[in-house]
Amino acid sequence: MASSIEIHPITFPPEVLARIAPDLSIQRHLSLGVRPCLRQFEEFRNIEISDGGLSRSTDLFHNSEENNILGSNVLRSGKTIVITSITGGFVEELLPVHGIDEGEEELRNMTMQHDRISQFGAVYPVVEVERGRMGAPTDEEMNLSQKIYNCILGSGVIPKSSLNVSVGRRTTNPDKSVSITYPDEEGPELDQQFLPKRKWSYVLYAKIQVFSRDGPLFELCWNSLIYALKNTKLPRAFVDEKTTDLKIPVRVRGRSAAIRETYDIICDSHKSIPLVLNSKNVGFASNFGVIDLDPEARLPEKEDEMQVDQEDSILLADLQGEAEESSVLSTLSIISDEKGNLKHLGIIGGGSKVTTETIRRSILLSSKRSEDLSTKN
Amino acid sequence: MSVSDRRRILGPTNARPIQFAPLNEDSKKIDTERKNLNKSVFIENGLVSNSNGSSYLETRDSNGIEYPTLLLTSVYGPRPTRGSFNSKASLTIQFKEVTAENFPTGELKELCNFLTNIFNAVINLAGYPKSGIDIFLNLIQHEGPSGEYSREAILPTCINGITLALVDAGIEIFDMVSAGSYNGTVVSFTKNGEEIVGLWKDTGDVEDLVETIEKCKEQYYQNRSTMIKYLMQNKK
Repeated sequence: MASSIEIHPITFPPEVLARIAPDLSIQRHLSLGVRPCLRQFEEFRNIEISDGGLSRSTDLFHNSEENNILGSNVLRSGKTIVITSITGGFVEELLPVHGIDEGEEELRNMTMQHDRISQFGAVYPVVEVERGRMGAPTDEEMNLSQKIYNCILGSGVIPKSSLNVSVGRRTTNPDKSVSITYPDEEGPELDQQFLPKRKWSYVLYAKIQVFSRDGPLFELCWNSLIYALKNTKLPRAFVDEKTTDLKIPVRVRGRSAAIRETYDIICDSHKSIPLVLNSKNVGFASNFGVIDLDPEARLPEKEDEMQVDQEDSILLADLQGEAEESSVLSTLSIISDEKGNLKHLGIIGGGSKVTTETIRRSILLSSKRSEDLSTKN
Repeated sequence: MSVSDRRRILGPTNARPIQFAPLNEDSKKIDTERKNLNKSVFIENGLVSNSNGSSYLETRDSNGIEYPTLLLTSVYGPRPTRGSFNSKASLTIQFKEVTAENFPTGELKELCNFLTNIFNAVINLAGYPKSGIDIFLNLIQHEGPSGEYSREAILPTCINGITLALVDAGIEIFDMVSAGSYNGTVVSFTKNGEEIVGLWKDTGDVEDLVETIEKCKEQYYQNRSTMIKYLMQNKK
């Protein structure tokens, strides 16, 4: 006697299905007109930002001599939290002993005009993504850091001139009181010969920490860094009067003697100036994915429903979650400002066809997104 | 061959960090007087979604604005460990400063060892054989009332943070641990203050050990009741 075997269909809750069959999960969702995160196709996540009260310029700090954070941002997008803090350093430019002569200066300016990148300053970012493990940075962290570095430098957000230090000098008056004067505060009366003959520029470092990673991170890190740079304040710096004229010739590998720093440049604990950004080059980032619809994954339609012609491929904005990240392989990453001026455009055509129409649409959406993000503060 | 770190973008090699001129002495004095004020605390569990459990603590002065300590703790585990069989779970605790880096690495190592000792005694490690429990402390911000970065000021917050994160992760602990600090001494208690699981002494003189322990116990009661109140309010 043959016993009949009953076959029970197995059902999974959505989050389990997304884990074991991400492509099926995403196709089923898309055929219903929503994404696994229940957003519309072209809907972005809202972001919340604040400066987090981390930097030394916020009023909360009393003993700010210890705090060396110049600018900060905390960005929350969905569950993901990005904390960016900007710190600084100085680099002294080595100048020839007798100053640069005019001919050389002219030649330098001429070559500078052709070298676009040399007109802009960089930020040195270190991205860390918390993943519950220790050890060397992952590929993703290294790629993110490098890409952010390249984009900051290439898009020209920070003009080199805004990183130049306008050095003040600290004078001890005859009555033993100490005063600090800055060249731009005192006007042209300040005797030129008392100005320091050395030249410094600021170096900016960014530390970007990500918690609850949930999808691609470049755009979140970039936006957080831009917000942080916007509220960055560079401290004023000075040298002691007695060191302004100090010259110590040091031989540098056979070339002519140069002056090397011996006395430290010190920062003013109270005064700071905002970092001047090249506002027309500031853009916000957004990402997109293109996915082909699989007709077989579609749920069987009821007979009385009208047959709706669905497009074959769908543009998804602001990818999120494991299912989207692993099954959407064609991606676009765009940095643009509100007018649609592109600062960065990366397209990866992995599987799905990225048409001109899609690119046009995503650029339009990214400029809208940028308009929205630029109003947040 | 250069030995520099080539995995991170470090910037120019001849750069030197920013140094700030010391502040006036008067502004410092006012601050040290306020050292032993009451603290207000903000707790939120489960912020780090890809960990097994996490807690976020914000400790501030009683006026709610000054001298913040922001700490995000995440617990990963119990998860399988590689290698030989272990009848007990192995516990690791890592401490990281997310924004400004003020503590030397050696000091942090000591701090982690101290915390590991406490929680080895508190977590039911025998209940999780062949597993590892990894705890990550992320200090987002800290400013001590005296303007110095002292480990004893953040230690009670670390202990509270780990306890809450373990509860959030559903890892079995024998009792809620908490601690109090007084004059540079940190004492950590369990079992309604009847058992001391950790004693940290770094700087400052202790005239009367019993008095110090009593002061710490007061704070322990306060911290513990705050945590339990939070957990009862937010139980699922």
